[in-house]
Amino acid sequence: MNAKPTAPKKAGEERGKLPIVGIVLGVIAVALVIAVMFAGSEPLGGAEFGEPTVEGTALPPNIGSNPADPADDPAFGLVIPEVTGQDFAGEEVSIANNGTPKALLFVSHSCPHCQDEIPEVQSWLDATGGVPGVEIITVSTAANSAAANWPPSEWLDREGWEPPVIADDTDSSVFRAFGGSAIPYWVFVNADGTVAYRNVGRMEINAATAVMQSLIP
Amino acid sequence: MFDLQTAKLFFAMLTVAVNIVVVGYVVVVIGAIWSDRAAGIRDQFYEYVDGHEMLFGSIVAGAAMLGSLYLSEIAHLPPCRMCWYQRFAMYPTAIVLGIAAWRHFTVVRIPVMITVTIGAGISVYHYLIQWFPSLEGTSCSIDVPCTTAYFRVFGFISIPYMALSAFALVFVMMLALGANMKRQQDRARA
Repeated sequence: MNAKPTAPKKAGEERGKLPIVGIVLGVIAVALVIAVMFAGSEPLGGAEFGEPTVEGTALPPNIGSNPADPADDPAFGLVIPEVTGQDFAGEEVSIANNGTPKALLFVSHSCPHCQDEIPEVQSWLDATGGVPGVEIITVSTAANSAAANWPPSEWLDREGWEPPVIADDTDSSVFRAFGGSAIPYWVFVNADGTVAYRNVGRMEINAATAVMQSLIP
Repeated sequence: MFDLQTAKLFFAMLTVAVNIVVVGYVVVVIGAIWSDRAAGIRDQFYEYVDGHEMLFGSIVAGAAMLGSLYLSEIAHLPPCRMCWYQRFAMYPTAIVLGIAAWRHFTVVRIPVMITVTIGAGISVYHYLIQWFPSLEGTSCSIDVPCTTAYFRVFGFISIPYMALSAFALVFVMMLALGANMKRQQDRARA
């Protein structure tokens, strides 16, 4: 190993210089005092996690990309699992095979793509009222009190989000039961309860509208 | 007392202090091209840190390492893929510079500069995709998405910003080490 060309400084040469370790410790101490004095407390969330129950067979995992042909999705044509859950106020919300076509939208408060998707869909709902006969149900999943934009209930309220919301549990059970791999995540369900199309990531609202219209028998 | 809120603010204050040093250094070095006064301040800075560059660099990298371990192991904020890449650069830097400072192994200067440059590049990319997530696709991983910022203290200091600041100061210390080595060689020749 190379050594530095000159020997380390002697004590006398340091005269007149503040010790660098002392400066470092001083900066740390000041930062610590300021942090302790001015840190707020974590915002508290309400019932941000639900206790949904899932019945039926889980859909196969989505591979994370969207096939050009919906029939190439291994979940295409499979019957979705049924979910009984709660919204943030504790009211029951369910995903049931009740003969109504559905568009299920899985989002997380901390995901920036979801933060873009929600207002876009809400604007479309405000402008058009949605596709008649197609029920939109949202699942708030992957909630994390340490992550940004917490809590999800306040986020969706702030966005004026109107469709019913199921609060997923801490294990994201509903999301995983629908084979989710990333968010935002759309699952379009035919009237007979079978999967028509799954879309990972942001979806153009015109494309989503077209799929929803195709669900009408 | 030392909950996540306090820790975030504490780390952010340290980051601001680091930023002040780095920005001050850049301003003085650029100013030294035209100004003798700036050149004098730059030389004073080199004189001040002379003999302590690697120690100071190891303290900075070590603090960043301990901070990241606090966030993941105590505050339970799991690191994302990009966080891990930055750790790969930061942790060895802290250890190598610590040993080098102890044994006066100045030969580590260039490898450390290369390592922190790579780490800083990853930090910049990570910071950018937190602000512009569309740079990395249209979806978030459900587990630990890189596009999600756990926090932004003062509206801009997120974890990759903290890492970038630490990498930058270590780099500045290595520049100072190089300058001081050159000055000592010049003195030895004279």
